[in-house]
Amino acid sequence: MTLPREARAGMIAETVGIVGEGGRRITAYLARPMGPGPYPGVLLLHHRPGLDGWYLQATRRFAERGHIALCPDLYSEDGDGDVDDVAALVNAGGGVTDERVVADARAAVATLRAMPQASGRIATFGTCSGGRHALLVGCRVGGIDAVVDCWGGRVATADDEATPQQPVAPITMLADLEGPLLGLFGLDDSSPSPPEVDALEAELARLGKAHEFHRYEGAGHGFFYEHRPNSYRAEQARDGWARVDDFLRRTIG
Amino acid sequence: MICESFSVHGRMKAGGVWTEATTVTLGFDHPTEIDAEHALTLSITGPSRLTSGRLALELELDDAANLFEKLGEVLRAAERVT
Repeated sequence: MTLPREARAGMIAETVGIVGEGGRRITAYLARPMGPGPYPGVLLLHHRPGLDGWYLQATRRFAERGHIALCPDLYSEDGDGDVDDVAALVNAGGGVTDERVVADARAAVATLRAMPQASGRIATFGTCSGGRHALLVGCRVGGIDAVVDCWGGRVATADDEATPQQPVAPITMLADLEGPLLGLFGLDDSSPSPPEVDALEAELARLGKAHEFHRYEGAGHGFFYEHRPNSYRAEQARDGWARVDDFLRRTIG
Repeated sequence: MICESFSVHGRMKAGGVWTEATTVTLGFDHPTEIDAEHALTLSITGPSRLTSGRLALELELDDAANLFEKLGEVLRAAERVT
């Protein structure tokens, strides 16, 4: 496995506070190479279980590969407690709102851009609901240079599937997507289902938006999650991560 | 995601401490711990949703169905003796 020189120089990985809209204090996990840069940024949008161990590792993984990686805790305002307890509380209430996701992402992007080691180029990355949020942010927050959507569900939802927290389907926002989109999906997944993925791809093509989709045989939901043996698919995950790394190299440097 | 919450008046032991139980949340969603794509999730919380602790259960659907059936049997038996 080849890693850039930055991987040996070490990294800084810590929880930081960032200031959101209206002065809200948001906590986030930041990982970056220790060198002077400039490094491109990756904004991670975590999945429904919260900013958990997998997302801490994913954030550090991007830093190892020469990015400034920042993962805001979208549940920052929902209480202090164990990650799974806070996530249960948020999800019992219908989940985090799209409005909050976009607002917190905007604050995180501003933080990334302000860092002296930053190159100014930024991609979003997310898995599951985070994949949906990565695309949502790519459409709603200006200046996102690339988007990585790993099996994001509820992207191509019908009007009658809207909720107060998710009032508009991201598939209707694609005209505002500025950068190319990498989509990774399992063919055995039910959310998103293969027809939903096809609908998303068709709309991207119709709008002339740059995109690369990869659909994996023998993989369902969560096939990157090595901590969940029933979901994890080693070969597909290896290929998927290689595509993520290559895509980010080509799009944000 | 499927999620239903309702009020109860009871007691639960969470984190080794007995405390008031006021809300039950039942759901069918991606679980946190159990290795399944979806699971039945049950959370019981107190008046202060986080600081009073949470009792959490995740079950695959067949175990959840069995729990539901056994719960019904126990309730019916209890009604016969009360």
